[in-house]
Amino acid sequence: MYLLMSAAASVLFLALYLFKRRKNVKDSGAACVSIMFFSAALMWCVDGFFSALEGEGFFDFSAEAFSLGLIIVASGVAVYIALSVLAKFKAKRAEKA
Amino acid sequence: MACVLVPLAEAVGVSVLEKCVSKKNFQNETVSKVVKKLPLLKNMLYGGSFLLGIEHIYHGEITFVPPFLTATATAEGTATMLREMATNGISMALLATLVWGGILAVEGILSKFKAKNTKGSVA
Repeated sequence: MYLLMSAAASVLFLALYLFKRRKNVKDSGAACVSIMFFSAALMWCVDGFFSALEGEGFFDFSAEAFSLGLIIVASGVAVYIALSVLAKFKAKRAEKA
Repeated sequence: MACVLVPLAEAVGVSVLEKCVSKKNFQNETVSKVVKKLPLLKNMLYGGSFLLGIEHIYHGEITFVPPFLTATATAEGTATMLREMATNGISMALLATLVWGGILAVEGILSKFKAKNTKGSVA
């Protein structure tokens, strides 16, 4: 479940990055977080593959997996907010200098 | 169990490599393109490891108190952990690196295609 949520979050942040780029707004934080979610989804694919080899399901649709997915997405959003704040702080500093 | 340590170790290795080669000038165009894209691989590995780390903390496999990796509490757990690192961990790191390589290859093909189109339109 968290694999699918991570993949979906990656697509959303990529869409956000492309949308902002269309408006000539540079948002490297969105690109960074999208890559983060994409990479995590890839790694969980490997986990799922080895689980399937051992007879378990590739995907885990339990309530625990869903709550973990929410925590993962929330962590990614927190990273995005932190990167955006850092970028604004750097831009202000550059303006002052 | 601690499979996240393998891509994390690769991320550290890529960071060190990036620091060593970033200021060098390479005559080979392909090598310089690969070096320019090292930050992408670094971000993929660190980012993926960060989220996988959260998953491991959630499942109680990684803690903030010794022995940090709960599997190392028993010899059997340690053996299982090492086996998982060797299978899952290395596969994760390899897959991320292969996908990064694929992105580079696609970018190279697209840029050659663009250059060909631009030449054709100029002619």
